Amino acid sequence: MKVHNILFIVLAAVTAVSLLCVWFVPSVQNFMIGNTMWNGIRVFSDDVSATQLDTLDNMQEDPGTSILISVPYLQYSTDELEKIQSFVNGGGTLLLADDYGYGNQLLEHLGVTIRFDGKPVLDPLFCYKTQWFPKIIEFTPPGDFQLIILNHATALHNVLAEQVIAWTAESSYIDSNENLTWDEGEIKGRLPVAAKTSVGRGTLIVVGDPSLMINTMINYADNFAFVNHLLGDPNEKKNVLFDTSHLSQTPLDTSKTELIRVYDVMATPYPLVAIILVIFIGVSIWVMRIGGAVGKQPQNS
Amino acid sequence: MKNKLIGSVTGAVIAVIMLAEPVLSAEPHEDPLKIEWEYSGLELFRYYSVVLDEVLKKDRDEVKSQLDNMPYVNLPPDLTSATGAFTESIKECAELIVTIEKELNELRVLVQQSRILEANPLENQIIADLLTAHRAVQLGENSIVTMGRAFSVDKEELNSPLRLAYTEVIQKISSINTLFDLYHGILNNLQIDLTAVISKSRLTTEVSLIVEPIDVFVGDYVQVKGTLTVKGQPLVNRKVEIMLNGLTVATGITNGNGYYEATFQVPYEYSVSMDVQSLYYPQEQDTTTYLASLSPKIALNVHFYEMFLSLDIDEKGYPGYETTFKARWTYQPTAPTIERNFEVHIDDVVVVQLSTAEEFIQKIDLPPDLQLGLHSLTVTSSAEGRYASGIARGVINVSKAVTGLSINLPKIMLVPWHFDVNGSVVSELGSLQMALVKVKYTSSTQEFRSTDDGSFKGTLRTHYTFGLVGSESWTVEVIPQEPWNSPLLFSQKILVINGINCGIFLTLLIALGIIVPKKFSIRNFQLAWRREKIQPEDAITGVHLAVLPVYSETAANMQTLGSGSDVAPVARIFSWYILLIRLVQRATRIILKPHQTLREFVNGTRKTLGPATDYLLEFTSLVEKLLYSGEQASDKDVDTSEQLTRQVQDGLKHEGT
Repeated sequence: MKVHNILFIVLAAVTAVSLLCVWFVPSVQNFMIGNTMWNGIRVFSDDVSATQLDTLDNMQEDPGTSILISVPYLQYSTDELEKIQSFVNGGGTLLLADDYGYGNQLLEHLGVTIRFDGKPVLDPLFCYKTQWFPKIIEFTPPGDFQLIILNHATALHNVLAEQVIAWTAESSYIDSNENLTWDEGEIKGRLPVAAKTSVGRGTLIVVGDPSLMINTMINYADNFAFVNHLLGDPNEKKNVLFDTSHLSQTPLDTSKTELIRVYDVMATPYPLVAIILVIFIGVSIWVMRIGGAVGKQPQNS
Repeated sequence: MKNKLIGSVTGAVIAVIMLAEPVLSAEPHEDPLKIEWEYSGLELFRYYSVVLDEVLKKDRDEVKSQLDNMPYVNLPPDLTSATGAFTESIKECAELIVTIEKELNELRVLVQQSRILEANPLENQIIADLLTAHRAVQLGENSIVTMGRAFSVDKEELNSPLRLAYTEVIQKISSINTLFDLYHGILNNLQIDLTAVISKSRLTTEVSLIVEPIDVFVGDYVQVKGTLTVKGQPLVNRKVEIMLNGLTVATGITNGNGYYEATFQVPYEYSVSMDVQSLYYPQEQDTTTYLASLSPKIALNVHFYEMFLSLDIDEKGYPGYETTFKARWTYQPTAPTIERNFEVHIDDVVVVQLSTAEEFIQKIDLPPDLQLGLHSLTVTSSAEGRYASGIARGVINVSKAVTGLSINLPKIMLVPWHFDVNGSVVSELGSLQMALVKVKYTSSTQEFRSTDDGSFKGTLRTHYTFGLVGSESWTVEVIPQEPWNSPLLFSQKILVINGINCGIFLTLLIALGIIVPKKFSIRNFQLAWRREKIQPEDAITGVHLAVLPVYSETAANMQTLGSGSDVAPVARIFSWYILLIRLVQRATRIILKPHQTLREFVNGTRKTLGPATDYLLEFTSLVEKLLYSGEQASDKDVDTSEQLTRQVQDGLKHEGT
């Protein structure tokens, strides 16, 4: 067999194996809907029937019946900021869940005063296992939940008391210098970690910890009830849209997204017809190159 | 080499994919299942220190509130009993501080008023409370010491934060103990005063009490009278206080006979019983001469018209929608009807005020922005003279009415097309008026408005899309105008047939179906085709065999052998024979099996072939002779074989095969 034939076969096999791996190996990246591991949001996503948004271009036309959940670990572009502002102003609900990301960029653009601190809020006393998992036991107004557990959260600033939904305990503090110990000058006491306010015709919900929704946390304490409470009245069926376009993605996730996109495009009729034509032409050329008689042979005289 | 190359490249690609995940920035969370428990004695002692501050501030509600959160604290399991004991003991201390202070104040008044009979039991009560308090403090301190041992406080340096926090808690517990000691000192002082009062030879006074009437309505006036005496002699011009449930409500001055009288109005407190007592306590110069005296309690039977108010309310409510309730009431005892004032509250907000004498049915509009969930509807009626107040409460579950949609969307749809659509939107509260109905299909949206009866109609146009045939979804969104109706999002799967695309695709398929069979040999197709067309002449010439690629070379040779004169006779004979056998196989549909001899095969064809079998058998004998005897074939043999072939062919024609 010639070398170029071997290379062709190897290339084809590698491509096929790679595509199969990309298709079938599950994502392990944070907050990915397809991720069934501890740090994905598959459980939450299934429970609320969330739709994954790979780009904000796919947002619903009518925001009145939609809730957009955004975890901003990547910066928003100006166009995206405008899109979200228009969504909220049009009556949509935005659940902005952030801890150490770019949430303030969006809050600033929306013209609200609330800000994420961006530094860890730790509670060495009212916590689960370690101070990185603060327990929240104070809610305004009280709901069908007594306790939620955060995971590497941050606190909110510039929140009016009537906007606050959840407070940390008195023993919590913002670890500004990140030395895992409270020092003089660091803010300590009850800190808001979730708030709700109106923006235009819509609603903005700010939560200082997106990890509430991950597979391993959603069933801890009353986390699911709390997130459900944030999403609003269960009788009002709303589209829950989960923005994954601002999450850092591994090459596997990027490949998955691209592969799905290519698959979607290829599954439409025109590319399908084009593929059939290419195969047809290719086979024809191959057959013609092999040669030989076609049809009835003329008789030798 | 090839396998190694494939293996290494495949492995490299898989490794790149699998190892891609660690390329991450700092994690925004940890897996809680993989981390170890960590406990902070420092924060625990700091928290306790804050709680003890509240104890010393005598804010027992705050103390209770903070200690009630202790179940949520992250603590080592072996400290559960110690922290539980601390919580209970400190709560008790906080309660006792407030109680003992109140009791001491009361005792001080009693001592000042020389009310020995009342002071003695109170004094004993305070002693018992102080004893309990000291025990509680001791229990709290022991619990802290246990916790200190658990966190190895004694191994810490003296100025370490943990040691300092621990010491601070111990000191604050000590301060609480000191506070109780202080109370003890105050008690001792009061006891001394009390002893002084008892020890001095003062005269015992007596005060009697008569109350008229005993059965009264609220608001009525009650007359009290009695006498103040000392050793049977009247005490003249002394002040006697009339107390109702411990509070002074009137004062009487004794006359020359020691007789006093006073009148007071029964307060509108709507309590069925009140205690009346007369109190004399020595003032000014009397303090060195007389002791205080308290009359026996006389119970006043207080009457009023108790109101039993009840509500019949709709359990379900809708924001912005009216809800109806019926209020009715009775009095006990039965009373004349009077007009009463009522207030209706939703949660804590007054929504309606009205006055009526009869039971009533009231409609109220719930606020449009009312939060969904449970809300209280409270009706109150303030007290009116002898008529006590009334209150009744009900719970309304406020939710939005579920919107229902009826629409005649087709199950199968041809695109691009247009068709009439109609339907209606209703909820349990009636038709949705002027509701916006958005029908979405792929990227196009069409909007309709419902009429007063909730119906809507219009024409739906489906645009050209790239689809062929498949399942698509209609999405119908209903946005009501009324705040009490919930929006609706409804999806329905339909089978979509794209007429244009299907036409193009079918044309293409048909074109391919015609071209491909012509261009490429499809063995079975051609075999079948040729079976119909084959002629004995073709079999003899072997022309038809040339189309079969596997035989193409042989066929060409056989053609040559069978027809050329320069070929060896044996080859020509064999070629005739092979062609003849094939012809027979196809004509008779009997296959020469691998285990059969030529003769067995020929004999097997007799039933189908008939008399021609004899010619074929003769030809077979000739071939066997040439094959196995080693004889050379002659030209005569060639002629014979050709003749036999013709005869078999004729036989086949004759048999109609």
